[in-house]
Amino acid sequence: MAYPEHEHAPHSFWTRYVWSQDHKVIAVQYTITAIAVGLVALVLSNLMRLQIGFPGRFAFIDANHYYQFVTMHGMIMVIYLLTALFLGGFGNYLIPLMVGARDMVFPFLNMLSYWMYLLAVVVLMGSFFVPGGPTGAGWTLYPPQAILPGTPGSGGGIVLMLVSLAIFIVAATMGGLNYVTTVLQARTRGMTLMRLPLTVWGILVATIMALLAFPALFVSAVMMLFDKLLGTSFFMPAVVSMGQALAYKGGSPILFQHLFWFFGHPEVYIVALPAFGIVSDLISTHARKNIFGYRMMVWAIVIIGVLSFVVWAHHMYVSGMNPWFGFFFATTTLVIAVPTAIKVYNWLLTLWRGDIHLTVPMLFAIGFVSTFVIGGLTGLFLGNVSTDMPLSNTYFVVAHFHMVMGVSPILAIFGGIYHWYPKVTGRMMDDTLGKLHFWVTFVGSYAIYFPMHYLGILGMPRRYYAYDNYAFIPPSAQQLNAFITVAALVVGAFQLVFLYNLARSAFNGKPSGSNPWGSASLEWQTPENPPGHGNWGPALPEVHRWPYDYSVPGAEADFLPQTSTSPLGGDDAKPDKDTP
Amino acid sequence: MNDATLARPPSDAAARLGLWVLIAVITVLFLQVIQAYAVRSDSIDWQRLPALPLLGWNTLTLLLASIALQAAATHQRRRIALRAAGLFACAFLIGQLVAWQQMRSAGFLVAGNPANSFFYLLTGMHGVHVLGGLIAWGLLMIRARQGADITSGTRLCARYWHFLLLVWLLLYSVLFLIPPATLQVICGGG
Amino acid sequence: MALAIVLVALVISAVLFHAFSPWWYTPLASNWALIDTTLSITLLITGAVFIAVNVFIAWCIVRFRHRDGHRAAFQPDNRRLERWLIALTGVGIAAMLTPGLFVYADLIRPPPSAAVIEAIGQQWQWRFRLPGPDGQLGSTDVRFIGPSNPFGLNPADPRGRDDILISEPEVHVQVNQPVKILLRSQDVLHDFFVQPFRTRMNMVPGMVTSFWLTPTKTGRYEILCAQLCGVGHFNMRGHVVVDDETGYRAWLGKQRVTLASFTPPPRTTSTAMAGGSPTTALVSQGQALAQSKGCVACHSPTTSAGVGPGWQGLYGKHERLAGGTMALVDEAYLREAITVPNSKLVEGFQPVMPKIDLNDQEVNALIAYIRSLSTKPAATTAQQ
Repeated sequence: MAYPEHEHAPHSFWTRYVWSQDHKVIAVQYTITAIAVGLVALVLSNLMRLQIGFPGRFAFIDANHYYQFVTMHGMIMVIYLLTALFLGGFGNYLIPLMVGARDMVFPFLNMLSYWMYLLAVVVLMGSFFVPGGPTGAGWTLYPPQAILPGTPGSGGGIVLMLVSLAIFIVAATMGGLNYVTTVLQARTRGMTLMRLPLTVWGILVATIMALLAFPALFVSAVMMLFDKLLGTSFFMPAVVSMGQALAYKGGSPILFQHLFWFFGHPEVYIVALPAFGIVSDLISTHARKNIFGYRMMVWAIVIIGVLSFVVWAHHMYVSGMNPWFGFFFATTTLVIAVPTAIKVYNWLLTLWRGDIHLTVPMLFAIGFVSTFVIGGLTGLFLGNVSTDMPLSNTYFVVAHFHMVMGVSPILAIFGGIYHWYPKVTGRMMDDTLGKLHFWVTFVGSYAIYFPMHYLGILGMPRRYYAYDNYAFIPPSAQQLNAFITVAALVVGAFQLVFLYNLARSAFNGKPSGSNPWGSASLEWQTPENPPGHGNWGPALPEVHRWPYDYSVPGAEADFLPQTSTSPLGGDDAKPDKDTP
Repeated sequence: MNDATLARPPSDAAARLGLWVLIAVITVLFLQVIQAYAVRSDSIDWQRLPALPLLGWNTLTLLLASIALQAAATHQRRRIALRAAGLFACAFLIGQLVAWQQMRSAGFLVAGNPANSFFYLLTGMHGVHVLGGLIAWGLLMIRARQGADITSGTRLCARYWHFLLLVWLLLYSVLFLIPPATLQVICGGG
Repeated sequence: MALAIVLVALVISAVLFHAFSPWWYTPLASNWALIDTTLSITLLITGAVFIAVNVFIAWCIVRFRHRDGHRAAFQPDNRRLERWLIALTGVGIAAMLTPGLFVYADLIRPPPSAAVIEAIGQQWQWRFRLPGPDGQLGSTDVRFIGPSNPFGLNPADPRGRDDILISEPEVHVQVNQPVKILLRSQDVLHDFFVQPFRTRMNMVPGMVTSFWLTPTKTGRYEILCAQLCGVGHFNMRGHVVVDDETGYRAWLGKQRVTLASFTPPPRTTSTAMAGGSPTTALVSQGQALAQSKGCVACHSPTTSAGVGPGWQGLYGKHERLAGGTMALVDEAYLREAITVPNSKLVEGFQPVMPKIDLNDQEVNALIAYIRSLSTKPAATTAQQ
């Protein structure tokens, strides 16, 4: 890809930082927006925990508000924070740098993608200010409930939510086109697919999944809008709501669930795969050891991506769908555990006989492995159709998915931010504050979610505003809930440490030099740090090896950058002594 | 969503790949609705719509737009063929709007029957994608006027149009030709 | 180093927490012991993996932490080890999946001898229907639902004429008798969940879903709605009572309401209610209405506010309305609040109260009930 040298280097403040087409600036815009909206969701979660931990103590949290907080917290975290931050933030920043491109192949489309995303966020936030407030239908937005009175925000709230989702999907599609095309078309000389860092693999497969899964959500959102605004009956059966027979007829609520989870389950991996990739690279770099079983790791990512499209109905074992589906989906769901387990083993084997530097990114990466393992293991309870019966829709589910796609991706995001911050700003984030942030977040997450599993096994249903006078719930459960709330408040408050560190280090952080972690992968080999417009100066780099040549025997330094022409190490010279 | 050709890709290869990815996404989008259509058409209240003769004419205009773009992509006298393609595409969109009007005045309202709802939904979605193609076409015309080389852009535009034609033919057969029972078998039932 | 210690500490506290946790599933009351067994197998396997992974990480951190002059081993791959790990994982997965699928095969195959009952969900209350002497349930449809036919029975279906209708949120089943529970909903999704039974199913408007079990232990169990069904979701309470045979027959003998004998409460104010003074009768009718019409989902019979204001001490109180004016809660105020919902809005609440079909006499009963809560101590209101 021969770019004309610095074709449109932007000059004014506006074209440089606002209407920028530079992937690095767009990535930062995505990241800041996602973190900002994530803060809103964090506050919402603390508010709902206040009600669960200390019911009735905070009069302003009535049942309507509670359900609105639950819904908005879930939707914001899953879509507007995690998806946007991994693909729009990390994807945008890292893909061109890691594959050796000057920018995304469609920079204008990339800029448009961010502004559409921002528009989606604004529309979503707008729903807080319409009469009736935002929707309280739960992030799954199941009809008929989502659009009937009796659910908070069933007027403007749900409409704005659906519109915002549709806009978000358009934005994600624009971004996704770019990421896929850039990885496949704009790699520099020598950068074969099997020399890509696992971060790029994770983001690439997640993006392809997003491109194929989001249409299902788009379709269900549009069809639900039709049902709500035009009175069609796609998902709406004949109902008598609040004593009134409505004009709907014959629609299928289960059809919506199929469409929703056809998107919803891949969505879990859209969030998980980039996290897998980032964590692989962090562990390898900070253990000064090549990632163990690279080829297997790549295949695991691809296989997980494919399989995740045939497991969606494990969210619907008790939905009333054809019960025979249960056999198929339980089997596929448990089979997907095998490639996932391979990834965990390979992270562990990368640590084994490594030279482990417990830097802040490494702490977060190891924290990710620990929390992801517990989240993945509890998934086996829920994926196995018969054990799902007593646990479905209880706090066990809440604990499971928060561990597997709440805490662990967030830990990967934090690790990634601490790791690549010097790349973005040229400065290090504060180490002490970073460690403080890690310890509270990691231990606090265990304190919040580990006991929560037990409330689920006890049978406490999720999405309950209060648990007064249920005889089977012992009073001690309430005390445990109070404990969990306190832990959640502490963890929530300590995220301010991260924000402070993030903002302060941009100006006062220690200058990082060009490659503070001694990383072998291409993004650290730019001529300037932070990289200038066009990333690579006059000539594109040439790649001679995979990104994991750490501690190569015979080499002087403990890493060989991908651009190094040294005859040692390299993917083609992989010793494979244990294979007969 | 339809801006694959709009961002002036630095190389034809990237733009071609981008367009293919876009086509894949749009294909999945329509297949999802058709899947939903198949499931929903199983219900007892389903009443299939009659095919309007106008829709046949609209199919013809879309076909002509496709042919004109193909001519523009392969022949030298690009301008005229391009203009004709735009005209045909506009004619198609207007024809679709008239078809909606006819359906409505014949009493097939959007909320009347799920088959009606799907008709409006599917044709509407398709129309939006044609509109997106028209925007790309418009940008192409502007660039042609500025004297830029639009060979590759025209080729991509033509490819997108052929795809839209295929989608339309698929939708037409799903809506009016294939019996719901057959469709349910194809889609694996509900 | 600290991380290694913390990881080991986490594992130890997790094991201790598990051992000493008072929070565990309720004693089983159905035939689904196999679900518990599968759960135990899964817990054993996953618990072992959880401990092994965390301890291995901790050990690696201690053993391979950075020291000056130390260098990592260079080992890109080890196919044999990976194959072993995959095989081992496969075995573990199979050990969990196999029993799970066997149980599931039973879960979806009710025995032909199973008794059939029907549960109907509506925001936010439960109702039940049992087949009459003919042993069959009549067909139903939402379009038949009306004040005199809240169950939506098809009047033309002879099988439905003897169906026993239960409007209270409590149903009885017989111990050791397999029962298939058909589920219907008239508005949104609900879920019939009795934790001691282990199994459950969603209730989907527009279709009939079902699940089955054999209750094995007599007792009174709570039915929870476990599928978000709107703002009153958490208060959609019901009970299922598992009786021995004699107890069940006695209860069944008392259930006599069928479609023909189901009459909405009379329109004229008849004070000749069974037993007690007219006021007491009115109050208890109001209390029953508050339950069956779902009022209690939002209005607690205590002072605490739910979706709407609590009822205890409400009568005679001065409420601050949205906009700042004050209003005395008297009979006229309550009547307007019930019959024209949201016409006056108490400050701090949302205008979400639905209009419920009530005749004058029923409104009187509700008012009498609410009024009674302001003159009595709280203790008597907590029952039901």
